[in-house]
Amino acid sequence: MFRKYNSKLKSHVLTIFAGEFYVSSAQEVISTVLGSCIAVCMYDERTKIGGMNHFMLPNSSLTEELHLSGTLLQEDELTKKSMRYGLTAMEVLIAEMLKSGAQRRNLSAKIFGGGKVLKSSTKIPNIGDQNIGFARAFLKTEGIPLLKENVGDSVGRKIFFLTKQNSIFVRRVEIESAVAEERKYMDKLAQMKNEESNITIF
Amino acid sequence: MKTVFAVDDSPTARASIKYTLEKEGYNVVLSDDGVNALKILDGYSDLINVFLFDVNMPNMDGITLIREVRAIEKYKFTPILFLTTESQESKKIEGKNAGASGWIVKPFEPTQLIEIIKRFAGA
Repeated sequence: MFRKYNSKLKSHVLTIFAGEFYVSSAQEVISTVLGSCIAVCMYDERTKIGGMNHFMLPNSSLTEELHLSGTLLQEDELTKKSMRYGLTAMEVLIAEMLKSGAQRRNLSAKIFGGGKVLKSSTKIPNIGDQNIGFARAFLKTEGIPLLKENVGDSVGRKIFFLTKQNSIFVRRVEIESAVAEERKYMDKLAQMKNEESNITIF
Repeated sequence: MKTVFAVDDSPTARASIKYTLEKEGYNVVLSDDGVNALKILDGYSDLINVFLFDVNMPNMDGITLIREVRAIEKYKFTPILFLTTESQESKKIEGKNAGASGWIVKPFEPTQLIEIIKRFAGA
């Protein structure tokens, strides 16, 4: 994550990378580059608090039933390892927004990315589509309205989220520039295989 | 049958806790926030063996909830664990001082959640 002044936008731009998130209650711009990853831009209408995450489900294996039912209450799905990265990315973003003063009932979302960029190592369609399916299903399950999406296609995207206004600019970018970052992220997730839960007993 | 009472504002989190623990033979009671949790407890006459609370929730947060539950005579010594994305050390201390027995940072590994619930509830 880094912050840099952008003279065109006349604002500081906070750039986040895969696995990161940022929440702002100030006049700020959050930006990220997406290939097959998803960024969810979350907004609270009342308090004008905005936040964005950037994640993917590595080697995901969402079942056909999940795609059909459109919600995440297909319970055995929820405890699958690959799914947990997505769930955590979403929960952390929502929790941080609530901590900043947002109200769950005022939240709405827009989703970006999920390009057909990376080939999945499994037989399942492609990672971009899996990520889109997950984001839609999560929002539906949580009852958070999905106001807009700019997803899919074989393109990379650079997005700018003006948090106060809840407006988002999307610029298409070279796929290669988006892919390099995602490969690194996937490798990192793959290495985290036997991660221990963080438990403290008092 | 041992009973676990989980409070979390996220429907997906509630569903995954319920699924994980019911498969192990636990009776799971759920609530979406602290205010509703206290209402449910008020009318619940059976024994609850372990509580699992989220921290950041609408209406009443987990820290306030644990203070309220600890004030109820029969739950003074019942194990209460936080299960949350919150990992700040200062929050953990706040939770401990409010009477928590432990703190689990999400995402949880199902086998580890089961293990810790077993430990606190007795198998």
